[in-house]
Amino acid sequence: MNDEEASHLLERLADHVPVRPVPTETLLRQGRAARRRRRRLSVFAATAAVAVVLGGGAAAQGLRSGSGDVGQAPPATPSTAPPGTAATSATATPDKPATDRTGALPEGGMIDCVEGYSPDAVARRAFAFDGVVVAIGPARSNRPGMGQLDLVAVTFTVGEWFAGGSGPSVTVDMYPAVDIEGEVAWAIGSRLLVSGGPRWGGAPLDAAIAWPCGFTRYYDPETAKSWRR
Amino acid sequence: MERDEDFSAYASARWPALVRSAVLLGCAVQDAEDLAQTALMRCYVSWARVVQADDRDSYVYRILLNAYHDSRRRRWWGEKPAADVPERATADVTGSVDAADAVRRALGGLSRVNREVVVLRYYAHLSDRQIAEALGIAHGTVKSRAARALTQLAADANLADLNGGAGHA
Repeated sequence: MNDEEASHLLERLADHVPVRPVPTETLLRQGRAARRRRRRLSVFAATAAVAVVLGGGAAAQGLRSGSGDVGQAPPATPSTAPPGTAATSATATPDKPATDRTGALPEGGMIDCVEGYSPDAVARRAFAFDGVVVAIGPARSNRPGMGQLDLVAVTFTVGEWFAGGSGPSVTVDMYPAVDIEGEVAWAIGSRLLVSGGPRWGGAPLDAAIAWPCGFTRYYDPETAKSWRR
Repeated sequence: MERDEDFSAYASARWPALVRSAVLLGCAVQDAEDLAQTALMRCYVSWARVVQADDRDSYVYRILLNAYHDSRRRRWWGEKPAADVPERATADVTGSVDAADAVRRALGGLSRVNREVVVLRYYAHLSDRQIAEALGIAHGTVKSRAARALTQLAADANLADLNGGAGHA
């Protein structure tokens, strides 16, 4: 079979597919709504980041007065499981977890941030850990009347806490794994380095939200090393 | 608004091919329209990027394929797992046209990845470079998948009565 014959074969099926007129008005209406949501997400993301930064500042003041604990970097706790073990034990979905990617999670340029990523900046986050995604559910940090971010709650089996916690698992809100163009950035089984803080202030894991903008990344040993403190 | 006018013109021009491509990928007609609509809506949101893309069609087909993969993934979560996602039962859009049904059955025998290459190459008429970009695979992989798919189609019993005259009808 040559190329021309193959094209002809496919046309034989395609010619019998009834196609109604393009729903232009619906597309424009949906597209405009999606753009509005995107702009809102951008604004709210910046607002949330500001809130966390302010929370960190207040915590620093509290620490100086000896009363605060938000933003304090607790001593790293021993791993509850070897990181490698965690990464290979949670590949439970049809999605192929991102095992060969490194660097920051892709965000499609949708999110504005008030602070750039660096290992030193991670040290200023309320929590940081190395974990494997084991479950994804509805967001937990949204509050009525205070802005609804398009987030999902992601539960991790924690291999190592760098700051802010000590349990074998944790759930934090994150931006969804699938961006506007449908790219799947992570899935159940993905091993990530996650840092962030309490969305509305309080203890490190109160309404915990993983920061975007490089503060949540694919796992690699070198970056994990730079996060230990 | 210039953006809306440009987008509307582009959507009108591409809509039939996107819907039919989705059917050739294995969607029912209604699902294919939903998929094309999703892809075009995502294009609208990222219209500035679409316009600036070096190759607009490969970019748009990439969005279509991502939406297609996403829809299959959601379906997987909603149904019991299987080694292969079966062809969905579809309305008989080809009516009594045996040839179209035969082509549909033959395409259904291809692996998902080979089928995608076949549809993009022989229906959407993307170049191998465009296909590689749309699927995120190497140029050589496009060629090898296309060659394997054509070999399989040439030997497919469903097409036995069509192959002889396929290129001459």
